Amino acid sequence: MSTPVEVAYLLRRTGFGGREKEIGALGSLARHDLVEAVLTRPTSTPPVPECISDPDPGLEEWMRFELLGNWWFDRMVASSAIDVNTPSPIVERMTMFWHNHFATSAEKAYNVRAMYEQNALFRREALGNFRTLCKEMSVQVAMLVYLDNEYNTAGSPNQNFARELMELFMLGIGNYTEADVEAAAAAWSGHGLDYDENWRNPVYAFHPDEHDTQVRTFLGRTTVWDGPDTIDWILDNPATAPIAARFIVRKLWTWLAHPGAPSPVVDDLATVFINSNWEIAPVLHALFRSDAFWATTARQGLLRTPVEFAVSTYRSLGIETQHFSPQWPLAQMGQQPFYPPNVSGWRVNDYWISTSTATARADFIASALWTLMRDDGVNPSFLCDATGEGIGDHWVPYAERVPSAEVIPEVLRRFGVLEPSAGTVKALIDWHANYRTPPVDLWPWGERHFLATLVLLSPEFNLA
Amino acid sequence: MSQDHDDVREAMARLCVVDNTDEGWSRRQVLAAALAGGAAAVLAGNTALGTRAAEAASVGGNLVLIQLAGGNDAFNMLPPTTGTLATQYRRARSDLAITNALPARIGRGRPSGFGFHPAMPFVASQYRAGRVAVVRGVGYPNHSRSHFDAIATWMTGTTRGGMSSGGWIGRWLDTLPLPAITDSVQIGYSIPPHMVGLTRKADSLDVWEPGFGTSDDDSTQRALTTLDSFAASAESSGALAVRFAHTMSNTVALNRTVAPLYRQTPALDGEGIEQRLLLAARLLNAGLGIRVISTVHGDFDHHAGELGAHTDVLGSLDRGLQRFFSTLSPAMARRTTVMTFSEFGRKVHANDSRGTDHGRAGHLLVLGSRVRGGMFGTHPSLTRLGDWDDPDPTVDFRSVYASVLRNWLRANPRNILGASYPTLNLFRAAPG
Repeated sequence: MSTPVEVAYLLRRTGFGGREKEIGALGSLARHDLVEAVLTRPTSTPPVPECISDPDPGLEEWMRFELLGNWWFDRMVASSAIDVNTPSPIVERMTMFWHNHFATSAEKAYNVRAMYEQNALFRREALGNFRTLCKEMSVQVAMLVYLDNEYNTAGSPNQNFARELMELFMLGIGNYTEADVEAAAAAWSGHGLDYDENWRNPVYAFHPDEHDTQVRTFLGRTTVWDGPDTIDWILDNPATAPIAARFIVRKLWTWLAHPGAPSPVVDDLATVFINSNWEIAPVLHALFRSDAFWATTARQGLLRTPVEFAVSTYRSLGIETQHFSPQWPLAQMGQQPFYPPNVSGWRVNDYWISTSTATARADFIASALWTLMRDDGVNPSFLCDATGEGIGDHWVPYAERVPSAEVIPEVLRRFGVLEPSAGTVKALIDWHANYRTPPVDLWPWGERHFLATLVLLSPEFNLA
Repeated sequence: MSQDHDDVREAMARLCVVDNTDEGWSRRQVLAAALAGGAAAVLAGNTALGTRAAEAASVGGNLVLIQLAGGNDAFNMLPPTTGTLATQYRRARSDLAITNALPARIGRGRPSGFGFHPAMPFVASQYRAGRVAVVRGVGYPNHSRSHFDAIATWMTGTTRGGMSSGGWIGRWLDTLPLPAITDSVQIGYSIPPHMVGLTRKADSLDVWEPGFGTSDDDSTQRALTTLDSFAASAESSGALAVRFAHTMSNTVALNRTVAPLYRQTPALDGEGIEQRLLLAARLLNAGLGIRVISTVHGDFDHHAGELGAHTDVLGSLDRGLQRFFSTLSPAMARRTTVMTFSEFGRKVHANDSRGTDHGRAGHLLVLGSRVRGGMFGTHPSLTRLGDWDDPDPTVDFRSVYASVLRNWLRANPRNILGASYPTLNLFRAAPG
């Protein structure tokens, strides 16, 4: 058996939070089986979104990016740990992890089909194989454009991709030399793009005449190198395999448990990673089952990223992207998918804590609530009158005589906050009781508006 | 004089082309400033609005930092225009070379042999007026040419690596009394490491008016005080929850204070460097006691197609600086210095993508009415390039930081940087 608090915690870290029925359904499982159930929920490949497969020729590229961004966001909102007809939460979460890790920005790779293909790869290999992920990512249009490898030729090397492949994607800084960068750049030369006669629609193409075929030494091995071989050698070389394993495992821990992974945990997970021949799923199983994951440091150790925060808000309020697009608010909060700030991606925790991100979250909530108050039929149950008529399943009944001390915990629970601090509960009760004290604000929806705002801005809602 | 002092003077003579044996201010100036300001008032942490001017001289000046993200191409920002260096530059850069630079010359003084990129007419005019110091060849030893590593080094102010020691401005903020509203602002949503200390962290604002917390109706006000209650009572949810709650609460206070600045004309229409610097000037003018503002401009990472892209980013920087200085009040202009920094420069030769790759040495601009105009540092060699087509830096960036910390911010560079570095003579007068 697992408690609701435990199930809710796991669902927040393996996805975007747990709905009441999910928490109810999974509570009968003990920890080991709970993790298994969540990680192995059957999943299927989604159909290609319409903005890619059948684009309206009247749409500009940025509009198509908006549609693609919302397609992905919708998948995250809809994902459920128990409903196999929805996207799998862990798959969508890991898709975001790999998007952040192999950070590629649409700002430069301004090709919606290319960015979609990259996203589809991350989803396909979300819990797949790291070697496969690295190799396929390297020859996709998005990455060839973003890190300039399309310009990397034997006669005129461009080191951008080769350097970041080692520094940011596989090994971490300090674990290779400038000579290794030069050798890797040579290995990857010629892996470029072909464009059509209008310089559009790029596709991957290997140009043998631009490929360097000199013998070079890369990470201690001397031979003729081709790009994909460098990835194999990093992972197969006994000197660098452990470095790569620890590098990735540390990052997984940072994004799923807390920053600052303890050494024994890193060593254990790295061993799993290498022994499984770079399969990601076994690492996740081990991570989510570890005692360290269930300890307080981890439980209180991550803040919801803007995407997680926005997805949970949409679920809690019952709103949809077709009525209110989250793309611009996510940009203001600092995390618009497909637009990482640079090749090293986003960060966790204090990275998101600042006065302008605080303002951005508050502004986003205000806009989201405004969606509910418009007269277009979106979730009219939000607007209940004093008798409780028109109640939907998102809200507790509004009953004037229910004491604040009962309303508040119920509302918190509905928003997925199962462990509010005593201080947060008291602050909300005090506010609520005061709000109902004459002279009372007579906006019919004012109480809900402020109540939702305060819960969404509470510290506990914002913990991951 | 002690041996150390001699070493410092010698190092300074090597570093500073403008021959000057003063260390910034004379002793007489420092003493006068301290008497005028009243050190005791500063120690008491008096941050009431409007009293800053009286304490100005002993408290130190204000700093605006502009990070040029991606690695600014120093050699095209300030190309050599005469002599052997120009010949070497044009040969190395071929059709990527800038040949129509605006001459860098102070008044009717000797031409420097360099010019500014034609996209920078404002900076060139300020240089003519003696208000721009260009520190050339800035870098540090054992450079990896990695963006992330270099940014970390520049921001922490140490080559030891790692973020646990906080950033150099953050460590300075740690020494300041807690502000009433704010004393440090990052314009842009995420706070970079140099603005984060061990106990203090800068606030951040963006170019759009904050709506959060600025409404006056009673219901909203009642709700907002609940955020203060969250901040006071979230400990059982952990330190991260507490930090989040405090940020929400402090944000309301900050937003209410700065809201009027967004309603001034001209409107802040856009999110580029010009708007950010316009906001920066307004924030300083408002007399809130802000000591440091930092922002980012870019991208400068021109591995391909550099000419047009570089012209664009330098042009917007130049226009932004013009707006900044023309908006700044006379009082603030006397006590504000602007400094650019970039994680590295670019290599000497162009690559064949019509761009340049990462190089270890760059140039840094310091601008303001109290700045001692001129060329500082030694220009990196364009012919002795080592294995990686990349000249050695000639000035350690921490010397620049030390100079700004001691001679402008009135802080102890040794405490903040963890070691002593020879300072450059970047300022001709104390903040006014």
